[in-house]
Amino acid sequence: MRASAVGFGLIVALGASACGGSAPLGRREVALREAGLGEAAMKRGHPVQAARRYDAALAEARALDDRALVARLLVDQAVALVRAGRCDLADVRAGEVMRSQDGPLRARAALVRASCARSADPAREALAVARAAAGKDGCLLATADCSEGALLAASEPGRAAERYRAAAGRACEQPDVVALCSYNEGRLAMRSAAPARAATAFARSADAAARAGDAAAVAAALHGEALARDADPAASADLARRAGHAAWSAGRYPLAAEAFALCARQFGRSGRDEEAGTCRDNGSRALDRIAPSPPADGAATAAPAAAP
Amino acid sequence: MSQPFKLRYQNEIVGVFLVGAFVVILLAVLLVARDGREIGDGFECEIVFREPGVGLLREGVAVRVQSQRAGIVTGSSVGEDGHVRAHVVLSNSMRYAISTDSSATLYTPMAGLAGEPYIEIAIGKAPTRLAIGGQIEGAVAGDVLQLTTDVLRVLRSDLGPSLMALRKISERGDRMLAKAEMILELPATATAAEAMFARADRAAERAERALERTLGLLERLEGTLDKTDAALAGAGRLVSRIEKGEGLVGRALADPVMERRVVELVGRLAGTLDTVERLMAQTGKAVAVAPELVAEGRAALRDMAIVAAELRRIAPAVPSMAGQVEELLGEGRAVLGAVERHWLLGAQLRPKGAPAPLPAVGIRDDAGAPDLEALRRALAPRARGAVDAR
Repeated sequence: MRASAVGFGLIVALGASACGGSAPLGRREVALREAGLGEAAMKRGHPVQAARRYDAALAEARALDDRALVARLLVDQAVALVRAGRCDLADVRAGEVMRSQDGPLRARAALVRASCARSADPAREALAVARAAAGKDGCLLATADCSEGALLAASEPGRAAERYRAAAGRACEQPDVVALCSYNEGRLAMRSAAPARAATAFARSADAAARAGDAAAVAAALHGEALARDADPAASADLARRAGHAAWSAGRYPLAAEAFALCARQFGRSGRDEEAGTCRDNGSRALDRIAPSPPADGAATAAPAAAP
Repeated sequence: MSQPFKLRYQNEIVGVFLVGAFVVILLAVLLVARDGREIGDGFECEIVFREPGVGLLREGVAVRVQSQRAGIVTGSSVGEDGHVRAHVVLSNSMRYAISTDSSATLYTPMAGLAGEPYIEIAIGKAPTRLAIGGQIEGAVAGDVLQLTTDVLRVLRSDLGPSLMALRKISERGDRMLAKAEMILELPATATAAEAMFARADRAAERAERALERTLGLLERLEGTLDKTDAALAGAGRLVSRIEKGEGLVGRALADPVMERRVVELVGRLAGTLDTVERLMAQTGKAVAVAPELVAEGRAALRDMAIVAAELRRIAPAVPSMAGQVEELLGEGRAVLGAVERHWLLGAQLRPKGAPAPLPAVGIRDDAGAPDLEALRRALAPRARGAVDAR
């Protein structure tokens, strides 16, 4: 009887420890897990979700008072926020990192500030900071070069071209940097009325952006290539259509509308009216996502257009 | 009259108590007799345990069939062959239920500490019933606590890495799903697919009509060539008659100059005839093959139509399938999250280091925001049949 009671007690204790005694994760583990989920969300192309994950990770890292981890998470969150189109929030995070950190983290934060700057001067200042903090990191320096080229492209195309050449000399193979630099080069070629060169650069940019998993960059590059291949309406229309779909999937509805409008125009030129009509419909839907079109007379109660 | 109640009805009260006691005793006897009959009137059989490690098998251990008490162990013995035999009395109600291929399992309580052992008989499927004194094969169930410990050990050593792999698969599936979502969210994909199918159908019909027309043309060409052949044969006959100087025309053409001309004409006609014959031979082959081609083309078009119809049928189900997959992945993630938090397995899944930093952002030489009004005008629907001015 006594043995049975002891056995019963042991079993109850074992059951309780196995079923209910789950030890919570430590703060650092939670922070790392949330950061990993944020990175996964970014790879899936969901920057808003990623920013939320980084927020949760930051809360834990701040509670741990791990400054290096906090700075790292702040930069990653800032990048996610830039992709999500919330430069106002990204700028605050980047500023916090720049006040406390040096080295590559400071350089990356400065690049965030530069890309969020509303005018050229603060952007140049931020790029100078990034250049100084980047040290010998070729990809960070190439990003700074290409960013500076973008600032100079409209006013001083010659200097912009120099910057792009300098970036190419850094031998950075990182797809996102290649995508950025090639896109900017394509834009410069378009400004210089060299569509063939522009088309090549945009194609390279689209390829690199696809490897980097950046749908918005893919859309922008395809749209640029479609514009560059204006002389070939069929090819241009096809590229514009792809650009529209990519922009739609990235949530860049203005770009999607623009690309579908180009697609409709080029298909119209090719005499493919049916496909032109489809592009036009898609473009209208993209426009409705930006700002719903006003209802026609007597159509105030009409059902909204089905989401494509 | 002055006596109290209990004295006045003393005899009746005693009588009621006696009757009540008698009824209770009678019921008890009946119940005992009933139980005794159930077991006592049962039939005997043996359960042979051939494997070692038969413990806690003693007189009085219950025998169950489908969790219902059906008998009792009356004793056990070890035979010369070393096998343990449990002597069992089973209720008569089980007489026709237990077949010769039934098996018995001795269940022992957790670690031999709590609960009572029992034997569970699993009824077999053989048509022959177990005879009185027959044997059933017995086995011993593993100790539940030991089994649980083994399972936990296996879980800890094997399930952890498996769950890691599962987690990676889940994340990969998630990424795939995200891509599928991207595809599914593409604007007017369904409309475009519908239009594409409609175009394919129309193209198929056009191709079929074109093939039929080609066949008709080939048949007509064959007829024309037959007629040409006949006409040329007639011309040949006429020329031969002229060569022989027959008839009025032959005589009229007896002139040497005319003769030379006629000979040249005949040579040219012969060359033309050869060409026509070669053409006819080739056309004849083509005509012979054409029906086959048409039939194959028709079959291919029919297959295309079937495939198109199937795709059209499947297409609406794809979003819901994606939704179900997403739900499944969500549940999987929840399970993995719970496992991750568990002390026993969490260590296998906890993040070991910080993930790779995100790539840096830079300034893009983007064009400004588009003019929405201009876009709206460019994208305005046009009247059917309108031609693009550009």
